[in-house]
Amino acid sequence: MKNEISRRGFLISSTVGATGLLFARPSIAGTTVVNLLDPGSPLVIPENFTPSVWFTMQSSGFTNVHIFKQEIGQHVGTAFAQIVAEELELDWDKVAIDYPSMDIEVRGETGQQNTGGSMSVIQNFTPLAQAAAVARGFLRDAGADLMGSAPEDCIVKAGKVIDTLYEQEISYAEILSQTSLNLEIQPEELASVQLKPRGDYKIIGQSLPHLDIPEKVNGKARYGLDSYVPNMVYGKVSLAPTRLGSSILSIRDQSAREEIPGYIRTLSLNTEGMPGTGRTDVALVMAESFPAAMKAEKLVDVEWEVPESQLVSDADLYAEASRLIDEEKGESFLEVGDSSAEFKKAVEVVEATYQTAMIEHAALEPRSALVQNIDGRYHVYAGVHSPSRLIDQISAELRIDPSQVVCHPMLMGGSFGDKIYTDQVVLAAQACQVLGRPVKVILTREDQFNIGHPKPISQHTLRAAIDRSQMNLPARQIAAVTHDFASAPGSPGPVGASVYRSASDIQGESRAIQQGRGVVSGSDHWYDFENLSVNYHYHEMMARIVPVGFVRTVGNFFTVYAVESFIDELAHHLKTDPLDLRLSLLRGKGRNKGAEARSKDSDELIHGQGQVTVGGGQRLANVLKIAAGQANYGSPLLPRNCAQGVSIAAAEGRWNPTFAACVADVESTTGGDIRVRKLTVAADVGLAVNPDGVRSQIEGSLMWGLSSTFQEETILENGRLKETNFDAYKWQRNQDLPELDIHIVENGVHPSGSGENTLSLVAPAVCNAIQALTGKRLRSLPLKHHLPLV
Amino acid sequence: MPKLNVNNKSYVVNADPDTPLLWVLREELRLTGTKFGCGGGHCGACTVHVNGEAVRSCQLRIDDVYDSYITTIEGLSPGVDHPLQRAWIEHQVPQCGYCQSGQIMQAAAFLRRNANPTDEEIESAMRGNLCRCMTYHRINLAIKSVADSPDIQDV
Repeated sequence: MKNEISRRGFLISSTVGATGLLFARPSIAGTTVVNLLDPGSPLVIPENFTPSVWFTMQSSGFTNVHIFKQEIGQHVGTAFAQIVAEELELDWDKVAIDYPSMDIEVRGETGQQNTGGSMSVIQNFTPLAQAAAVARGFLRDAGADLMGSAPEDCIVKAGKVIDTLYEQEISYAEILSQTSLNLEIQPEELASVQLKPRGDYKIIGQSLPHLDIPEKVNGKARYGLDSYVPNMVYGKVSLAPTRLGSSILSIRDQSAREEIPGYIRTLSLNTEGMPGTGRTDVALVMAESFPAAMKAEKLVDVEWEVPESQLVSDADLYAEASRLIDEEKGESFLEVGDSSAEFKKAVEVVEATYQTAMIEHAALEPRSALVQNIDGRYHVYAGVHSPSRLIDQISAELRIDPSQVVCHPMLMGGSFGDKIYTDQVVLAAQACQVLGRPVKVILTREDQFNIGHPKPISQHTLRAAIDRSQMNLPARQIAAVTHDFASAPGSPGPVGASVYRSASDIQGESRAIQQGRGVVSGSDHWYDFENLSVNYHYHEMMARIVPVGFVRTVGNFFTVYAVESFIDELAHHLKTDPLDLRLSLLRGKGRNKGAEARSKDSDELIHGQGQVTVGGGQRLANVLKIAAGQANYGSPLLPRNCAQGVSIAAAEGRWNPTFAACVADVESTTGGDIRVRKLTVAADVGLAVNPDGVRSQIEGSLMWGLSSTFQEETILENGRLKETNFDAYKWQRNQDLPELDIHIVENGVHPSGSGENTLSLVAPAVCNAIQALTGKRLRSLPLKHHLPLV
Repeated sequence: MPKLNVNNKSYVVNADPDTPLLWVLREELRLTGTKFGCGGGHCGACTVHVNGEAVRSCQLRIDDVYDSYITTIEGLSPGVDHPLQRAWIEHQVPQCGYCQSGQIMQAAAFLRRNANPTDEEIESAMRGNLCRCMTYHRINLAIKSVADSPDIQDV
């Protein structure tokens, strides 16, 4: 994923208004922004101050930071505001956030703004800091000018420019009320602007209370489901007997028309979650209210043609996964050295196969969308991950120009990847086009399950060639490892792959595999295996039956489970401690070294997004030592019915690794059940913009991990997902909570994402602990099928 | 015309008598702080108070509550002044926030009956309110922090 921030966004226009600080064409100034955090007061950005695309400074002294990433519960707005406030030297009490609307003009300024992959802070840290630092420079110069001071005598602090020589000062508010700035920054100046040294941070690194929280405790916060416009009508979906592949033959709605007041009509539509993921017919039952639409839907008789080929069940998916791994070559995602040569001569091979089930996003807010046509422009009110990309999808679906689509982002009541998919927005837009009235489509929980995009099943076979003739060190006896796995991607398209001639190579040869987005993540781990081969098998059958999706921590959930379980299995086989084996494989060799911290002839650290990997495998070793130490790993003080297991993960991927390690303390009960007592986690996020925000994301990730490990599973039955509500689809409740002991480590130069990475630690750490406790190795998830252990 | 008493206001409601209270609160009265999560009484996102008891508003027909006193999150306190709301902010409980109206309404009714609960009692009172961000640890911390506070009975 590349950061695509448009250069134009930073150009300062030469057409300056009366007063104010001008960073960009005034795309936001003077317009009304839906204020999701306080619906009582729509936010109007004053015309007299033209905003930057990232923030607007007002003569009142307040600064609005415009958040183009979407709020899903990660408090991204607060983190962005902290970055801006730090470099702009703002008084934190005078900072507010808003979530601007998106159309192609705004997109021209911001570039594509997708929210996902835990990428928001890693992508935006530097651009926001640079823009704010440039603004600080302008304000200093302008303030100095107004005071008659020399700019070099002036410092900027807490919203004021201070002349240290003559001991006078002027506030931002005073500057912006008195002067206009007519400057143009070139992109190269932006890149070379001096950022504050980390030691001077006063706002970044503070656990400031999140700006979006007060409205989330009094019912005022507005989510997608809370959008209303006058004269709107409602759509309730009537879905096919199979997730994909069925077609509508006829719709009979006589009884709905006779019995349901407010029933309008039923539309035969066709939609998909994301271009290329698989289209499906949907009957959309329209009524004047949603309760009426729900009642009518029960009475509308939709006749479907169901192709035999779609009547596939879970067992078929697993059988196909086995066939793919056993019989097909797959695509080479990663080659290090020559593992096939090692396997040819190997006399001792360790092999294990692991499976994981489909998991639902199960965000508590079901997806919804409201679409309204105002003077030929379609206004979308919905919580979605990428308003900027939705413009293209809706314009293609409605055959209208992209300039005719405006997206008004709403808060998301959870997503975990679910609201990447916009089937329901397409339906609302199509119905709006047909009926000529504003249309709101709401998925019920049952609909949400039936039209879901769950995490795919996965199956993995790992093999290790053991060479006992090598030195005594167990790590050296692992001559080669292969990892073959089958699953289906969250969206179609190629993924970068690599070949390294040897484990010492820092630079590999790049190539691509045809599929694997969101799936292969985590299989290119940081262990220094001399020979390693990772092959991905595209599960085409699954993609054809269920449009599986990106679900929190994507493929890392199962690749890390497989790899970290297998490492423990190897440790047992080689009769060494699993912690020691890991540490001896985490020396940051070759490709695992991470980015260079400094250029050859300089003492200065290199900064920027690409530096997120600095330290590489060594940072994983360090967090593993921290977690082990904090958990008192190997302690004789543990009760007899208790054992520990370890795991590491560097999700979300090599482009955004948070280096993390976990020790799980598990206990067995007399009935053979397993309970997790405690999870000790050390997570190196490089730099924590808001440490308590990072912590809350890790808490949630760990509990998600626990829930996925023990309970979560959705079953495919005859082409349809079997569970339709939370009575059948079980997940973690507020009970039997383990103690969470979280240690945030900041051993990097650039922040990495924290919303997903630690999730994948839990399953392998728990399974490794269970083996230590009981001798049993559990090679499939969820664990509920194995429990109680007898 | 039958009336609904919500947050100390009386409303004439134009909806079928079998309409779930949840949808009347949200669609007719635009009290959108009460959330739709599952429609089956499984998740607790729609929790409101009826005569002081925490109930799932998706499971009640409006003709069952015409004579009752209903309180939603919007009526729990005028600002964010309920001790639980303050504790929720103090402990930075919400992530996405979607379930939190229901969590707070559930906890408020519970604490009114049991002002100083044990950990086990909190767990048993709150286990029916799902949170997909899994903020359970902070929810429990926040509840514990206001337990036995003098003003919890009054609001």
